[in-house]
Amino acid sequence: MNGLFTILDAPAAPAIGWDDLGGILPVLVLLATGSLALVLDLFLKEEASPPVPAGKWPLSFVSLLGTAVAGALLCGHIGAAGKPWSGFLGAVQVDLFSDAIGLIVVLGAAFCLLGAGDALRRRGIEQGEFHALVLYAAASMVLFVQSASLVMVFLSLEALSMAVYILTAFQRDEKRAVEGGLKYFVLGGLSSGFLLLGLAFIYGATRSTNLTDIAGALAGGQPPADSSLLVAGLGLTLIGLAFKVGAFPFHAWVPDAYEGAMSVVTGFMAVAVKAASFGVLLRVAVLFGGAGASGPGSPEARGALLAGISGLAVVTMIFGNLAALAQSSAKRMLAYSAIAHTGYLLVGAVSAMEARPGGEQAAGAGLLFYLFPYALMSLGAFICLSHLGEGAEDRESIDSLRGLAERHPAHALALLVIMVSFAGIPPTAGFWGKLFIFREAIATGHWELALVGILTSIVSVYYYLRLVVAMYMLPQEGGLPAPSLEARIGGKLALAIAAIAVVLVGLFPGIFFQISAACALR
Amino acid sequence: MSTGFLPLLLQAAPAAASAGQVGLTHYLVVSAIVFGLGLLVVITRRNAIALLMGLELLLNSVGLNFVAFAKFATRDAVDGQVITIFLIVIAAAEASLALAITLNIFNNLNTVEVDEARSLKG
Amino acid sequence: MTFSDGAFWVFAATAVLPAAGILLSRSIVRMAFLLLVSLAGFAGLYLQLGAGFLGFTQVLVYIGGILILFLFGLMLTARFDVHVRRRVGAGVIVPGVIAGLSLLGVLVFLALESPWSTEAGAAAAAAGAGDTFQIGLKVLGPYVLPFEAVTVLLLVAMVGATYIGRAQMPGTPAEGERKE
Repeated sequence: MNGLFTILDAPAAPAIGWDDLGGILPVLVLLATGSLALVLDLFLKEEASPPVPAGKWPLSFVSLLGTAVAGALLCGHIGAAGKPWSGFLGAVQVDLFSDAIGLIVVLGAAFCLLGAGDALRRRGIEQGEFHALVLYAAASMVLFVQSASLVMVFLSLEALSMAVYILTAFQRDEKRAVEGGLKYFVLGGLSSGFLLLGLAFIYGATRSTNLTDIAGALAGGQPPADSSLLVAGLGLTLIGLAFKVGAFPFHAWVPDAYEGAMSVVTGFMAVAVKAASFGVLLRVAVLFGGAGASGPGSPEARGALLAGISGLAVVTMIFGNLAALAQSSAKRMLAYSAIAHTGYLLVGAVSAMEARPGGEQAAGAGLLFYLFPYALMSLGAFICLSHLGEGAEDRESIDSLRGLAERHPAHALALLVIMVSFAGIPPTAGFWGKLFIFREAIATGHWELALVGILTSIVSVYYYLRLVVAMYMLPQEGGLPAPSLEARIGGKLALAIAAIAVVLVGLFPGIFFQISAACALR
Repeated sequence: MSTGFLPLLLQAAPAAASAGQVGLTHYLVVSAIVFGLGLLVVITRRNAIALLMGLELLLNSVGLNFVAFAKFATRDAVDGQVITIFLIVIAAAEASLALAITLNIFNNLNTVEVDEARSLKG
Repeated sequence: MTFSDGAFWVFAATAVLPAAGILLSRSIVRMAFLLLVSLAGFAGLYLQLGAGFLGFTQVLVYIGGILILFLFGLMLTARFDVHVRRRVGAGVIVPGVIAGLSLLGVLVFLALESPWSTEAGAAAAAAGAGDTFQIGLKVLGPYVLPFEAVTVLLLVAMVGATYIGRAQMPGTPAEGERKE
């Protein structure tokens, strides 16, 4: 590689070449497609949009194509079972784990874009900025999971957060949306502050910005320069990430931001932001507190992380499920249920920290498996609320879903499948997800977490089935307009794919679990 | 060496000054105090722009942390400076976005009835 | 105590005291000006740490750019406050302040408790004058991907701020201004 970078050759500059760009190709594809959507929008005529149901279809088409290419690249990489690859002089590390999380992120983006066409058109804001921001956010999320240096962690986190703040407030003439965006922004900024201070402390304690170097030093039995500073740094980092995944004491933004945003965006946030943040949370937890990985490096760090994450898991499961019981809005109920699912995923993170390298269970297989059906269910549910909406409103209250089975039986059936799976009733994907996570927890000796999880899951059956009862057993109330759904192809497609995939994962959990186990952290 | 008026005055400065040369600890304490103050601003204020100022204080204190750690604790002092330059960029981006959202809320409230605006003022 | 140590105390006071003023001040405009002084104090601390380029970047970008942006925002929205919260009650303030103060205590304790050396690392002395050159090499070397990530971040912020900030005048279609 000469030419562009020869100027750096003077003081023994290590080379950065095409290989490095090739390694992050999915990210580049997403970024390029986002910019393409932005430019394409300038050439699309506005006149065509309101009467013609297809609207600015090239925007959706191009951006969906971009996610498809990025997804195919990630799938190809998983299929090839490549070795972990580190590029840009240690700034990123691409392995099967980051590929798997990246795939879930891209899935979230694709579903969001699929459902967004109708949702934006109804509100008169079908603009390239939306598609661009979703794709930029997805690119930043993939980079976030791939980051191997502290600098990349916070820069990509800031980029993805900022894109998501804007998407939350994308309905810019709707007070609720903009206020939700502002609240998310302020609390998100605060959490970034904590995370940054935590990273600064980790840097100060270990004298390095590179996560791989730090892990190597710790695993080699070399204690950090300052152990208590490392523990404080990890604690602050954990607080920052707990904000992002919406764990209990740091959840204040979740209901407002989820409710304020358009439902398609809420689905994207619930899936992609959470998956990416969990990816990094798991990496940090296993790196600094894993049973085998950190070796004799810093036992204090491991103890603190284990206690912190288990504590968060317990209170988050209890709080999320109890708070969801009291909701009368389906969207808010799903927001609290997203908090509850964060709790289950945290249980998966705890057992991942116990897994020993070379043992029969790779770290985080349960968590990865859980994320996949969780992503499908959340995307399906939020897109359904958006799909059934009218004008600037989504179908948000539980009462407004009454009698849905009579008017739109297919939609009601899809939502039924999703709710049953959310509740974790046996032959569904959600059941297998919970089973694997709780089984891992018991196998690693954290039976108390599994117990809390099982008890709270039983509570959760009530509020999920309330929605089903409203759809199938209660008569329709009042004169809510029945929107014509004929033209809304994107939402229909997304909902159908989500429901069918939930059923398929429920029928063949073994295959998906094997893939998750193969992709888990080593 | 210390014959000027200012150094003489500062010699009387309490506590840590007597402990000797200014080192990493001093910078970390300054950073910690500003972080705490920024946090308190974010917690206690209601105005969006005031909250944003609190966030700026947080970012600055973290930046000072990085530069001080890099200078006193690592082999390569430039690392911390590069990171802090990135932090300044983040602060700029955050400020522009926050002000855009604030202006938008302001405009939205301006176009709706006064009652609405009053209800928000609490 | 050397002159350099004296300068540290001056800059530290310049950074911390206005920050406390921001917490206590009632007027938002006064807060903005106090922030200016505090940021200048930080710039001084950076210079004190041998980070010349960073110190001047702080002055140029923060004080010259970001703060002006703040003042614009203040002037444009000065007619009434844009409130994020309805009311900050004791239920928020008391636990919040307790949490904030205890965090502050822990941070100060951590800083004091560690046996830090007061000598700069070996490379720090070498950096000194040529730090701009060193920073340039870093940004195009190991930090090239972070640098590109920053460009993505700026692009996102730019696209978002222009979209969100485009005022919605009543009666004007949102698209009207785009076509100009």
